[in-house]
Amino acid sequence: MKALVWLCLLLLLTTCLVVACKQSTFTEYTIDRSSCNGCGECSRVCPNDAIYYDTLGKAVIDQSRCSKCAKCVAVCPNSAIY
Amino acid sequence: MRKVCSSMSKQRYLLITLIILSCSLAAQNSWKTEFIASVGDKEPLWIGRSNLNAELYIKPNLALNFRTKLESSDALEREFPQKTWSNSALSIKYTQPLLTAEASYRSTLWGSSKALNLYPVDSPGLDFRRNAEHQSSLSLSSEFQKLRGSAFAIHRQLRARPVSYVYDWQTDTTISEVHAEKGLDNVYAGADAAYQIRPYLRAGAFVRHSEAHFDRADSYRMDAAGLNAELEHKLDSNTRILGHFVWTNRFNENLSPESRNLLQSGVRIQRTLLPGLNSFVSYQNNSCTDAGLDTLYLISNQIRAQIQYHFSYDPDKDSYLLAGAKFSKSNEASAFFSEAQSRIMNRLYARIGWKWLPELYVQYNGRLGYFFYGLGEMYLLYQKHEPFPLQTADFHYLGFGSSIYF
Repeated sequence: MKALVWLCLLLLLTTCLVVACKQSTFTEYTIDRSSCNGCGECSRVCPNDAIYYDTLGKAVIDQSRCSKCAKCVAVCPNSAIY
Repeated sequence: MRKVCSSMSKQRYLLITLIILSCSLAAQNSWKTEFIASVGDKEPLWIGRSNLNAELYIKPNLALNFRTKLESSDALEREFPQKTWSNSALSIKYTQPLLTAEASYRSTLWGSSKALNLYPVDSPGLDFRRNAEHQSSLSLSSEFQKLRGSAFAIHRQLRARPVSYVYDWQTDTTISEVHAEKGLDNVYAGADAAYQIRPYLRAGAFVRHSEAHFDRADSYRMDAAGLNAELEHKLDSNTRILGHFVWTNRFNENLSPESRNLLQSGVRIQRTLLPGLNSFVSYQNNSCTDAGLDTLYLISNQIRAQIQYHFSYDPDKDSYLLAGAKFSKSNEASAFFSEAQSRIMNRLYARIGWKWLPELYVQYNGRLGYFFYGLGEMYLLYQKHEPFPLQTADFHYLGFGSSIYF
């Protein structure tokens, strides 16, 4: 049973890796909440004032304001933006 | 006038007393100061950084958290469009068995900032010089048996000076005019409700609203509603699986109809492989579809894996090896990194690090630190930053700093 669970997980990860190799059809940047520490570096460089902080102090990108310049991707110390 | 001054002084004394209290009574406080200078072919540049973190438990169920960062340099550094930057956050959290309430305030101050075309919608010839941003938020959450409800409201105000440009045909020059500072407001609000279906599965619904109060405000109004499900399961004593799925129906003028329905999913597997060796693998995907749910489009995705090992020879767990990779071809945001720190003598630690963002830069770090147990640390650091394309010259930084724990 345990081996089956691990096999399923392996299959799931392989599928994820294959899907991850695709190019996006729409550009939107998202913040990985589990990696964000709310340091503020992304909002510091954002030229559109498109980043705010939620009630847990994690950065959120306001998609209606974002111009997809990707400056936040370069400065994030935890590589939390994708 | 005297009354106003006296009241201001009282407020200031109260604030100072509060900060001193929070700094002296709390358990996990730190103050870090760092000075860095660029060396090499580039024009000399110095950067000063200071971080203060403090947490205070006023009562067992009432916590106060304060942190502030200040960074200043004598010239604009790399991507940062301001010479001075300060970011502070203060929050107070009240917890009861049935209710949790939190109020927070966050401020960002910019000094000698560049004028930016902040709002991309139809504002040619008008830039903004950012001065400050204030954000206040309030959140409430309540849990009753298997039901959980929460709500939040966030207000954000950007204080900026508009800069307009006029072309003078006679002198063939562009003249910039800086106008009076104005406040640009944003409001974000939302509510969530969730039900614990199984010990490992929770499902719920949510609504979101955001709007901006400045020119062409309609463009920045977004309403959203959606459903979500969260999974958390412990496979065995060493393995934990977390997963989530969120469907969001959102409406905004700037979003194309094809991206109206946002589908977000994620899975994360955490495992302790050996004593001291922890790892995780996670996958996140964001896709979208139109109202008719005809075609599914990929927005972004990433697969991330990380491993950390604490060397057993260091009982303080300050000697470690960390390696990780984030693969995100969709938005060209992949990253590969590793870091190792080891005790080389009694209280002397050496750290080396490497970070590679294939489309952007590669960065190398070195650090030599001496720990004063329980009190703090003094260190020397070196950083090399190689931006891509390679025609751009490298940045070399040398610096020293100290951390105090109290």
